[in-house]
Amino acid sequence: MGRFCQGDAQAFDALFGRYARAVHAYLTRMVGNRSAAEDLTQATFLSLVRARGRFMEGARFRPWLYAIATNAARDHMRRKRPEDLTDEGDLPSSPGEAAPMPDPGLERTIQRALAQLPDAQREAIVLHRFEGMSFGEIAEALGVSESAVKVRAHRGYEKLRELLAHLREEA
Amino acid sequence: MTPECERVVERLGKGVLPRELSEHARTCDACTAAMASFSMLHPRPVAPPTRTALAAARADVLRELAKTPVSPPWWREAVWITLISLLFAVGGVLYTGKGWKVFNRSGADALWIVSILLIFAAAWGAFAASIPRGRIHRAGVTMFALELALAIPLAGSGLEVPLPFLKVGLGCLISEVSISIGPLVATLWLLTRSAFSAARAFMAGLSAGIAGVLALHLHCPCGTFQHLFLFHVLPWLALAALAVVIRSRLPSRTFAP
Repeated sequence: MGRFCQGDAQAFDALFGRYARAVHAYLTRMVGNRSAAEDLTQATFLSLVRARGRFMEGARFRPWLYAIATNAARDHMRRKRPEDLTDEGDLPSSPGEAAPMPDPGLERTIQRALAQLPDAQREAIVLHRFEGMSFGEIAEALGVSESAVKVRAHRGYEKLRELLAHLREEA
Repeated sequence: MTPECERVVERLGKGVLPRELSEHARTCDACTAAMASFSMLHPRPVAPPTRTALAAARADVLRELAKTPVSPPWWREAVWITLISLLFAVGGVLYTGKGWKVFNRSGADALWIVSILLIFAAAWGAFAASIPRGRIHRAGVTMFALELALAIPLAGSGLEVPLPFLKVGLGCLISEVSISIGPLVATLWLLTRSAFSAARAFMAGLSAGIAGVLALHLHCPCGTFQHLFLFHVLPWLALAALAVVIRSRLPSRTFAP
């Protein structure tokens, strides 16, 4: 990161090669749309380059990168036009078409339930469960205390259970 | 949420719970629900980005890197915000006071202590608005601003001006907004270099608004509590709140925290 901050293109290439796909996967889960996630991945790395002077010496790189990606996703959701949402007012529920799903119906229900969670809880759950980040790293990425992240995750998981039950009943 | 619930959520995905925690999880509805939904969420791989999209992104970012080999450090924004705010404050004092005359009739101690506190608030607010991780500073500036909001009217001379209350007040209000609008615009533009944060925009608004408050503090001869609170302090806080609303509508040049 030190070399990248000095403008070293090779150092950037190494970071891009290591994190670009993971960031894209995270953004796909956050915004529910593969092509929007591609644009946001580019915006994330552009921000990384333009604002590398804001990286605090001694901080961890991964939480900082995910903080940028999270902000990009929040901005996208804030500016999202109503016609981009589904009829129920949710996010598009398919995060991608690649991997075979053991139960496509359940997968869709989970995506819809996740999309209905408040942003703060969804971010905590996606970073914890899908990105495998520790609560310490998530706290750094979201700029809140570790306790606050645990509360968000706990409440999010709890609410998700309710939403899943409700959506399955509906189905 | 109890401390046990917190320990349960910490242990999610890390194997079997220790005995005392599994006892708790069995009897706690929230933990049972949390554990159930955690196990239902399987980290299924997401469709990767297309090669062309990834290559285009990489090329675009490398071009940007070549264009900006050096990125300015975050504290440079804090210095700019403070300087702009103080520059406008000096301009405001010179303009509204017709030179370096001080019309505030408070004692010299109250006059200069409040002025120094205001300059300190402008610098600390700018620092709190710019620092990437500054939760403690932002809380500190908020507390300090609230104390200043009380200190300014309490340190007033108590002197009444023989003119209608509203007429004097509106004059001060217009002067304060006119002096602060320049630093506010400059500060908001500087803030677009990072992601939107309401707390950060509020800090920047407080810092920028000091220009008007400081100019009025030195120049305004009216020293009653009501006048100072309604027409010096409240517009300052309102401008800070307005900064949050305006910043939320401006596009960000980067999404860095």
